[in-house]
Amino acid sequence: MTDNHGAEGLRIVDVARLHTLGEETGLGIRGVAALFLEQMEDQLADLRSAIHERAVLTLAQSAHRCAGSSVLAGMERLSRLLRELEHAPAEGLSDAEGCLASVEREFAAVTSELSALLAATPGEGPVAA
Amino acid sequence: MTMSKRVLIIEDNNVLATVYRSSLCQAGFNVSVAYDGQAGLDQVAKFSPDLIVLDLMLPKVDGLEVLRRIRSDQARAALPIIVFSNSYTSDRTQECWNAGATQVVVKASCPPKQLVQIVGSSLS
Repeated sequence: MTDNHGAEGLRIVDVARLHTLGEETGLGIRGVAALFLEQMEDQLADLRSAIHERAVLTLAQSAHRCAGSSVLAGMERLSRLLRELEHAPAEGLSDAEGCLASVEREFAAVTSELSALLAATPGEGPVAA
Repeated sequence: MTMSKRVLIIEDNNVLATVYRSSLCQAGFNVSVAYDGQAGLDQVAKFSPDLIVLDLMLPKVDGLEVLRRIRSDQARAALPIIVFSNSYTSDRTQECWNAGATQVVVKASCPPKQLVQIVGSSLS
């Protein structure tokens, strides 16, 4: 497995999509970003635990859930990696560990990009991940 | 009038549930959210929704089973139920239709604005 498999040309964060989502929901870009980051932090902990406990079904369900919110929020690269993780247990948990490492690297990049974006938004400070 | 229309979202993903609820509330719907299949079935009885947006992959009671149980109640035979999920295969989609889905929508290709349109047209 390779990082960003099949995701060449995709941005880490689709800012236009995030803005649209913020407007459509009335949550604003900050509200959507905070919601997404908070859930992802919790879900990444769940994914680590699932691998540690060899809970294959929990791992697939958590990865599926994360992938759904990632694509909605405009993080398609992250979503693709999570889809790989969702299906990785079928190939063995060692593959899942590699997938999770890629997900965590991509999530760090998403967090960094979102923080920079929000810090540059007038009247708004950096978002806590 | 959409003001009095009640929409129940049965979705275990907090981000998605919040986004859909906010969008539907913005459009004037009265929205309730249940985060697992059993809570969803309980809310159907308590909230008496005019329409349900139903995820498939749910804790406690699977979405397809939720759909079947709702449809087993004759009083809710015509209740619009939009199955909204990313876990699709052609077999899975056919199971949804067989179980009584009103509409089957792929989440990843449906932004909140489009969901609001789908809900609005289903209730008009």
